[in-house]
Amino acid sequence: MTTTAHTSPAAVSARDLTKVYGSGDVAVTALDSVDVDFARGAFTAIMGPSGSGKSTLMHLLAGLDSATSGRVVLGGTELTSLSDKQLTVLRRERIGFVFQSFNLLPMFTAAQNIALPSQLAGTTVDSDWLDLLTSTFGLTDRLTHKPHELSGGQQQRVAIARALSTRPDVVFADEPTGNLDSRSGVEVLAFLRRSVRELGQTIVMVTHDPAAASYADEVVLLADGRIAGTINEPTPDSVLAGLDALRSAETTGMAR
Amino acid sequence: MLRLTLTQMRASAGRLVAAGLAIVLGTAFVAASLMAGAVMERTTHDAVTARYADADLVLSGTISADQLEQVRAADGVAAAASTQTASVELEHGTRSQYVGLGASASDERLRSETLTDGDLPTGTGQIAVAEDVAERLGLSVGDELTVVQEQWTDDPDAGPTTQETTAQVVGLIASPTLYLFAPTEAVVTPGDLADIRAFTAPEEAGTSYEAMVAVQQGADPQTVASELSSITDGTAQVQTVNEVAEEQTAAITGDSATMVALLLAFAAVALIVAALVIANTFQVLVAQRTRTLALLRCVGADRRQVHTSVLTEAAILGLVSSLVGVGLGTGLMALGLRVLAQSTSDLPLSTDLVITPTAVVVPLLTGLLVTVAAALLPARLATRVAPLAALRPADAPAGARASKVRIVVATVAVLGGAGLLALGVLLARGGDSAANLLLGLGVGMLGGLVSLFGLLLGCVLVVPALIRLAGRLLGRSVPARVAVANAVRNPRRTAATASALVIGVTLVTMMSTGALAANRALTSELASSFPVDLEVSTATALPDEQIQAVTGTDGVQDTVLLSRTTASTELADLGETQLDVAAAQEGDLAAVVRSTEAIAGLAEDSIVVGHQLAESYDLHSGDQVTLTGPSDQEVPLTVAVSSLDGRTTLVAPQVLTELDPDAPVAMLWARVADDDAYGTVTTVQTNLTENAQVQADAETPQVSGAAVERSAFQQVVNTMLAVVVGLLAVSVVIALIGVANTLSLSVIERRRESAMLRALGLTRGQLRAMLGIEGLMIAGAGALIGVVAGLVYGWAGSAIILAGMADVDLVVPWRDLGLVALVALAAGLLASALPARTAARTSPAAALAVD
Repeated sequence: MTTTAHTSPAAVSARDLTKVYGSGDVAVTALDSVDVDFARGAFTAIMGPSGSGKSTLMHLLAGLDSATSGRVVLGGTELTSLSDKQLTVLRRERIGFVFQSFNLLPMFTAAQNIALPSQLAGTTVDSDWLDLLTSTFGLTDRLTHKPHELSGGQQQRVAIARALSTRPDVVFADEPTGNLDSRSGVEVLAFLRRSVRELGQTIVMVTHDPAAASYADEVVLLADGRIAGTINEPTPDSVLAGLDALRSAETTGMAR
Repeated sequence: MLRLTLTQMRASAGRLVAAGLAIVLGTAFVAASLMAGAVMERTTHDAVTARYADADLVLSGTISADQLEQVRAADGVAAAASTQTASVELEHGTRSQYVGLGASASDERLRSETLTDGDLPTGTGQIAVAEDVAERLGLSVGDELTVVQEQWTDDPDAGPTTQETTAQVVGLIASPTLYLFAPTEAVVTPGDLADIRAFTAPEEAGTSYEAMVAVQQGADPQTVASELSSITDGTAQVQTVNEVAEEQTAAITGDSATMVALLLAFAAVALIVAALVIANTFQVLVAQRTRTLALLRCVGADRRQVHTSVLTEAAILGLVSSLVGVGLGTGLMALGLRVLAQSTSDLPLSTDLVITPTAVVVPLLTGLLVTVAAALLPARLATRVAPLAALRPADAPAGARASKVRIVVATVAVLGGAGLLALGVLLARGGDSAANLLLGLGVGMLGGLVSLFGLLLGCVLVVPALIRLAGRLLGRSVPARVAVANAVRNPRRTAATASALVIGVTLVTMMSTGALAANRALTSELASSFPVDLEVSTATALPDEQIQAVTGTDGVQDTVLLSRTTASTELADLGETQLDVAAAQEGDLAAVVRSTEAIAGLAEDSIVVGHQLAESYDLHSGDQVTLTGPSDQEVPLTVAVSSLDGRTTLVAPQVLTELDPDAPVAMLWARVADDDAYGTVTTVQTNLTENAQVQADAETPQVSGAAVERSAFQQVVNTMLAVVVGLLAVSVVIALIGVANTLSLSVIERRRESAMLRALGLTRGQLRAMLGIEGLMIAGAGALIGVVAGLVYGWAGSAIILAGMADVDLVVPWRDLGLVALVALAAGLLASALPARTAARTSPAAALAVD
């Protein structure tokens, strides 16, 4: 299963990716031979019901967890053969993260939080790039604030700025709007899309919200640990329709 | 509710075990201290009963020979024997030794000596000697030895008259122990002993001061006792052996009670530290269980039930830990006794463990009470959890800031305590009387306690400030910055953790500072009164070989050779008096003496007289004396009284030549290296003796000097210090458990944060470094505060206690401080090892997935 809408080579791709938790009787297959490519310079959403394996897929693609079998290739590097140390270095140099919560260190200011990945690598953020990021995300006068002095939406914007600060190959966003009210959620999604459109970044977002998924260029549907389809140029309605189709397929599958 | 408490305990088992360990150590300490007291009592009781063999009654007082005969003849008495001994010198070949000589009782039941070889003396001229004496004198069964008896008269200047008898060794007896009673190292028949005593103590005429009685089979000891009382009426007391043993034990218990009290004081320190660790742990548990507690409140638990649940948990933990602690204390005591019994033969330690009810009940109760008391505050915090908290998202609890009241109280206590401490020093220095010293000590101790209390309260302010300051020095790497920020995130918890360490470090530092100050003060005191480390002198002249034997010994540093002669002078009170006059012949006197005060005033026209000699001859600095030596030339000199010790006076070399141009080199003074001064002096002695033996009729010179006393004294101070520091180290260990506890809590609370950092690119090594730095920071802050406070207390304490001595320097025991700091930092790092392992092992995805 490949996405063919984009001509540029994939930023990250998975081949025959399988993840099994536990062993023997209690073994649970979270991912079952998944083949998928995420295009460079695109905003892709991974969707699926709870337990469909979408978080697991993201964790494997981002090198946060190790696969049971199969390969993940990120910007030409095969992740599955890397050591923990190599993976860590790869994450801080080539991957950005935006999580649902616990994104920021509470005792550091916004600016310090943004600089975190660079400082972990012992480098500094390119100041032009930093200015561009902070002005794009409307954070210029919030840089000296600590997280508890920022609204939820502002906190997520800081997290996005941090994710982009190292100009990573891919930014993974895990339910970035899950903890936000709808207005802040819309704002954060708009910023994510702007980072793709204006700054040329690649973003992979995991979400269970069809409205959020409709901001992406493409939606990958996941069910029972397998790719169940893709939706190009999604709208909230088309995503809902896709999810409904999945559900009815499940129901018929169970009936059979 | 109880079932719920138990379930929660099971869930937090790891944390509780770590906290329980603190209580285990504290109660083990209490139990072992109490058992040590019981062992002392048992040992005393055993020693007393062993002395009286199988006797039933003991007569003590004055018992004449006639009375003893009457006792023997009394109804119900099977046998009676005096326990009197005589001091005699046993000679065998060239070797000799003074021993306590006793009589081997004719009745088996009254014999306390144990025969190990041969027979006991039964006839006149027979003797049995202790094994160790036999070994020293080279005796075996069948040998003959000479018993030298001395008779002293009232005139101290007249020597003793001696009488010698020969005796045949018929047996060996077990070497006696040196506990409580003068040892009996050889026995003869009662008749022989009576003969010897008739010579050595004729005025006593066979009187005994103690006698043992065995009663006849079937006779009641009490009845016999009252019978005997009428015989010895008024001169001696009659007691059963048990009564004597109880009396002796009671007397010794006074001493052992002091020792036990001291040990318990250290145990109390350990328990206080343990209480801090427990209080901390329970606060952590309550914080962790906020949601569970809130849920409980939601479904109907009232505040009292929540309160009871936390206290029940503490009680169970306290009880279990205390039980383990008593077990550990018992085990340690048993092990200690075994080791002691093997290493010393002088002390007849009873190796049987004495487990008194007190030694079990007291630690159990203390452990229980301390744990429950420490959990009181956390229990109250638990009741404050509102039912609503269950519905709120779980946020990390915001670090509570220090309350104003706490700041004010802490400042007042520290300043007030410091003021009292200074007042104590002033009071003690104000006068020489013991009352001044006691008053100063009392005020100073109060000041110390008050300021320590303030300091512990103030930790919540000082510790975070110190950590921030240290953080600046650590640079700007992410792990360091996050670690510092984390360490000050919850100032109360960090401060409580550090303060547990502060107590131990303060006390250790105080003790070593005090010991060093005392050492310095007393050493300088010794240096001026006993300025010469080693003196070798003869009545005639020191041969070159002997001089070389001394100077060639390792550890002997500068030496000076002194010529000596005898000169006479006319003193106002005493008339013509002979003085030993010496002068340096070769070598620098100033380099040899420990304190130049000893030779102050030495000039071409003066004579230096030691203060004791000056006092007995009524001489004062500035007095004029005229000396006449063997040259018959009259030399007028001015007296200079110095701190010199002994009877020798010092003059300039040319003065000595005027007095006696042929004065021989008769004395050697040497300075001895501080390391192993005792060994050096012993070697010098051996060398001289060997040298004297090689040369025909050369006499062995006399060796004296302060080196041995000085090193013995330093050894005592150092040993005491080592023991005290060892005891306090227990509290430091407990405090470090607290550090580990706090760190593992950090790990749990910041699981998500750590996972996020790992996702962002924090390597496992960096994560470990982060926790390591946090541990270092907490331990370092505690150690720093403790070291500074300990120095101040050590200085103040030595200024008070040593007020009577010369000047007390404010010394800094750098070596010990460095060691304390190193141990604290290393331990802080070590404390982070386990939590860091857990944190690093968790994969970032797993930590993020938990909701």
